[in-house]
Amino acid sequence: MINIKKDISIETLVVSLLVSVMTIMLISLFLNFEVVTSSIGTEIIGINADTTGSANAVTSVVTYFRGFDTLGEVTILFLSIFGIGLGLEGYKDKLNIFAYENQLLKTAVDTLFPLIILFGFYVIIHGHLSPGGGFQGGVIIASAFLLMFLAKNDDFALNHKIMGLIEALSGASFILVGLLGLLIMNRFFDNFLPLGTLGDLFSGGVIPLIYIFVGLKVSAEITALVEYFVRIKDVK
Amino acid sequence: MLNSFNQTPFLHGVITIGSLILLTIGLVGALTKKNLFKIFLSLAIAEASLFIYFIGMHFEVGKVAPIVTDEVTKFSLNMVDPVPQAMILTTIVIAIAVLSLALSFVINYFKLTNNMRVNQMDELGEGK
Amino acid sequence: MSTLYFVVVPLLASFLTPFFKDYLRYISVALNLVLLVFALSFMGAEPIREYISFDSALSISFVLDSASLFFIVLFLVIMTLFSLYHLQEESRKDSFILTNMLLASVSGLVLSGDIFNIYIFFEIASITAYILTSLGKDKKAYSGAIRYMIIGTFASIFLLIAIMTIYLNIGSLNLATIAKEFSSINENSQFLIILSLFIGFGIKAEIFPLNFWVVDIYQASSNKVNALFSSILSKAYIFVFFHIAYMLHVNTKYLGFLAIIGAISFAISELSALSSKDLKRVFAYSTLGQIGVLFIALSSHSIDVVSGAIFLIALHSITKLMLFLSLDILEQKFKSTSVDIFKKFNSLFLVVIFAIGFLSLLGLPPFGGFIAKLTILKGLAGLQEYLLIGAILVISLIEAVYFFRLLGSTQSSQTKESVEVALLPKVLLSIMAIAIVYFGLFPDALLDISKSVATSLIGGADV
Repeated sequence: MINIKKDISIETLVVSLLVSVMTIMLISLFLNFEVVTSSIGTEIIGINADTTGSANAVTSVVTYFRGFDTLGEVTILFLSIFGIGLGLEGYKDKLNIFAYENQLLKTAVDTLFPLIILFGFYVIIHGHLSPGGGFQGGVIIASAFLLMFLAKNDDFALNHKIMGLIEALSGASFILVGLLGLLIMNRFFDNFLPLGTLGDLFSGGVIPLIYIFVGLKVSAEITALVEYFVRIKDVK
Repeated sequence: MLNSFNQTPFLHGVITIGSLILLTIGLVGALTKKNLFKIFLSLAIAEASLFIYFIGMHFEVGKVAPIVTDEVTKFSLNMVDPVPQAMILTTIVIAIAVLSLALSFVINYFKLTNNMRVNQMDELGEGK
Repeated sequence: MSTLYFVVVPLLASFLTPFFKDYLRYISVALNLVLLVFALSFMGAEPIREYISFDSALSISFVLDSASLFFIVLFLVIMTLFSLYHLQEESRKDSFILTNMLLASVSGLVLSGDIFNIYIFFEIASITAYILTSLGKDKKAYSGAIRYMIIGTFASIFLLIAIMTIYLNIGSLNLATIAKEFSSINENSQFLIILSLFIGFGIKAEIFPLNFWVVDIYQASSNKVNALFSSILSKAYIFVFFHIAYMLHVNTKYLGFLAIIGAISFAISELSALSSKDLKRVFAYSTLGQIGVLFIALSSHSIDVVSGAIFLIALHSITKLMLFLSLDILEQKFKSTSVDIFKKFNSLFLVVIFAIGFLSLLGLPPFGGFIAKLTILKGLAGLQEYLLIGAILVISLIEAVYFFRLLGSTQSSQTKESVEVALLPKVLLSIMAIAIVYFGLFPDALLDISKSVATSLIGGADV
């Protein structure tokens, strides 16, 4: 018989009690109200087909109606990757912390890597036609790079100049698309490309363009993030 | 019989209770745990509970995704609200960014002081 | 002319950093000056409401009225002085990106008229603050940054709870729509929204009882970062706190509660400053105390008192910028920020600067701080809030004790080392000191501006 005895401090009990009381009050509050039926979302669904020409309403909300939030989000990713890079110095000399010598993985990755990247780009470009978009596709591409790190150990290293260039240019292009909308149509992020017909690849005006830039930036950044956290073993 | 569970108020009730339990676990963990990793993990759990709650409360039985495909050929009021989904997409990415920044600080701090416990972080204060 | 340039141009500049590596400090100064001139061109114009991408409440709106214009001009002036101060050092990529992101995010916080957009800018400003705290890269910096992040994530969680409750009950994210519909929703939901907004914004606005973490963070960061925190960041969060509170037409009991915790915050901060032995912490406690006074004044719902608070915000930002930059000069010489360094330095210029700063914070004539406190006290007397007047006067006496003690220690007879102040910092610090004296002697222009800012802040639901 294993005798497990754990000391639970008074502080833990008091905090748990207080938070549970708060939760019970919240539950009683939340179970007694109804979600409002008409919101800005329902109005957006009504005007989506005419205003944006994109088949995916979530994409049109993310990039067009609330495009500034997406700009803020891309900025936050950029800032946090930059902040991580400031702290982890000398990562070029460090080693990969994984040390797998798995032949199955090595052979499989050579085939899978381009396929996953292709799939990622497919998801990015078809963001306005099916579930997906810049963020989702960007993370898929980053996972392909993670697979390469797992398989190839120290033989695979990223070219940080190209990463930095992609980040800077795609971020600046995103803002330039907005500024072009401001200059041409007098409103930030307005649509200045033809809308096309619903369901075509070349439809949706400026939305696929925005998502491509977002996808490139997110993939560059999350790949850099993965590499920062993988190469932290010191050289002995 | 299972169809009686497929009603909107029941779903909303389950989602509310479940996500608030997760929120409790997250907040209690963040306030009482002493290991730095566990604190940030608890905060991530608390944020995730809010995401589940928000998306779940906007779903009603019988509604479909707000995407025009071959079956659903027109935008209609039978679709789920797209704005909360857009908001949560953004918030998830923000949570990832903040959490990864926090983890990098914890790694750097550990390399300098070999300490992972919040109650032993005594570098700041009067007379230091 | 779009109001979005205040947010977008610094963002674009920081994205394009890799292309201009050697000229960053000049670009910084140029950018801030151009934006300042652009901001001043909006003065006297009608309030502008600008939508992005679609002309209705379905998309994000940005509002430029006299309150937001005042804060944008104030932040741009502080940033211009700060970037001019940095012309003497080399161009650094990290400080360029971080200061521009800070500028973009506080401009967005002040301009935005949509609550989820405010949350996004809130997060950008928070992440910039976390990275700025950790720039020292030693044990203290990382310890402070980790603590800051834990507390900041708490604030984000509560803010998210507030936004979700608002959207579930009202169905819109536009502040004007929310203001109209707020009083007609369930009472319990109203209470939950106000409580979550109080915790979420109150943690960052540094009010008692949520400000136990602030002084350690000031100790962990470098002095230049502390100048930015004290002058720009805290003011932006205070503005958002009260802007949303006034737009939601909170009831007078809540405003009375805010005044009381403002007074408690002032008292506790000044009492703690008495016993502190580290100058960074003393200045941090002083900032917290002034924030307490600002809460007392801003929650009074009267144009006279709130205009005094706006005047105090302008004066306090310039004063703290001057004090922290002077402390930075001393720290570079003595490598410590303990209270004893005031006994060791021998520089008449710095003693005068510190004296002007301290006396203005105390509220003594002929400095600008005197006019600010006088306006607040006169307005409170008009509202017959004699208890608050008494509290402010008594606690200011405590403030006087430690400030005069510090000034007195500069005249001690220990052997002193002389501190040479270079030309550029001397010019900039003199400009700030002259501004403080000028607003003390000729306050009328700034008082009129403060009155119009107060009018638009309190009656903010009309735009």
